[in-house]
Amino acid sequence: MDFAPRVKEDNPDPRIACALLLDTSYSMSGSPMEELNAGFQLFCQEVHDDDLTAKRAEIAVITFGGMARVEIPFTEGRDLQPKPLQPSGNTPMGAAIDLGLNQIEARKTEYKAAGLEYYRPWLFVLSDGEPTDGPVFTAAVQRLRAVEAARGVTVFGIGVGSQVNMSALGQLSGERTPIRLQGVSFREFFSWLSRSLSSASSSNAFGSSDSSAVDQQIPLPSPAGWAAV
Amino acid sequence: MWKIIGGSIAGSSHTRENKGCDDANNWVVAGSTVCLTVADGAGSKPQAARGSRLAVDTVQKLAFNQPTCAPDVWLHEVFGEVHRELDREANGDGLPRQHFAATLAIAVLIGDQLAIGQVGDTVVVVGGPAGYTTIDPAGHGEYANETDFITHSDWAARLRMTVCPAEAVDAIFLSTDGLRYKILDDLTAAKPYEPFFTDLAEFARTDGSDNAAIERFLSTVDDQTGDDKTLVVAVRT
Repeated sequence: MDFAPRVKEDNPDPRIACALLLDTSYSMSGSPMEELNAGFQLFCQEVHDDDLTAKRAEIAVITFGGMARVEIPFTEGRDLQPKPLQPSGNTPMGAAIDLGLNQIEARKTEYKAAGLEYYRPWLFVLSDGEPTDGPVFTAAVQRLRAVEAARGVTVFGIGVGSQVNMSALGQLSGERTPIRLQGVSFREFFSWLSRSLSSASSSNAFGSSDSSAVDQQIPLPSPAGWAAV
Repeated sequence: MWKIIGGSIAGSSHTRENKGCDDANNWVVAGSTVCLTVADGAGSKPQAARGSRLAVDTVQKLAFNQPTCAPDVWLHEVFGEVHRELDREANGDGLPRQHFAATLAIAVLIGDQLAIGQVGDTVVVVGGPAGYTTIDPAGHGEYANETDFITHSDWAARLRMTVCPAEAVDAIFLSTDGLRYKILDDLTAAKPYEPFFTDLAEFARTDGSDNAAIERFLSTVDDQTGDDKTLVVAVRT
């Protein structure tokens, strides 16, 4: 005897917003920028190919090279398209952080208005240098740390190349130490990111309190393959 | 008389990662006591399956004693005992209690009173002449994947409890969060999706309906989550 009840078919999926803040300053010229573009193209493909990630992950790309700008506003994984990035100018990382936080906050407001459930957003900062917008950077770090402490965002700092100021990246989070990218292994990084979004998209049940903030993070795949030791 | 059927199955995301089922369920009919339990071990915790199993087994043991006190008083003691039992188990293994984190819902009928207690994002719906109602839906925090667990040191403050006259109820449904998308009409308001509960109550009353049919349904329904799924239904016959 079989049981085939009517079930609700059109409840909306929960969302996970992921903002990628990418350093496109002039020092990224040549092979780093080529690998970054190739890695992001691969990432778009992998996000499309994973059913849950395609529906649930929303990606935004913000670049900082000369100026901070929103290259790709928050876009559902299934609609994400690669966009070749060009290097130029200096490294206004602080302005990019502000822009990233603004985008995330606006997106959360839209989720609430639409009655969508969502997970804690992710914010990645990838840089090969150091911030050139001193006071803006200092203020942006303060803002970012406050949002992180209020559990408003999970922050990941990724250092690229030998000139990167890891201690500046280290200021971005009180919970996670920045990771140094092995060479220009952007493809491996982006592949890890799509797998991480996949596990986040199918994640369930984390404690609301009674444990440290770090303990409540979604368990992610190992970054071995792109992280320098 | 009550007829009870139910089951739990591992979700597709758990199967893909070679994890078993972190959900557990069971029920007891002893004298005039009817007690239904579902638990969902926290997917992010290493001992989640043991946590949910032990929680359900602990409730079973206590329900077999055929409690005579008011059902809400009994439930409060039972939630406390589950918390202590998980604590003892964790201590015995030298592990943090949080590794055994689980959500827990219990519906107990003692005499002419029905009490329902829940910690975490379980779903309990009751049906009667007035239609179907979700009991104390979990008001989760900002994020969809966060909830409360019975292992919390302050579990008592997180316990949601409702008592109602048993005569107003002729069907009781318990589920873990894995089925939310399919059985709630509105996730925010946690309104029951009535066609599902109508169909389920009717099926449960049909001769020959059994646990295996519930498990087959749970294995085949596209739940949008890949999470473990559990359903227990009790109907008056």
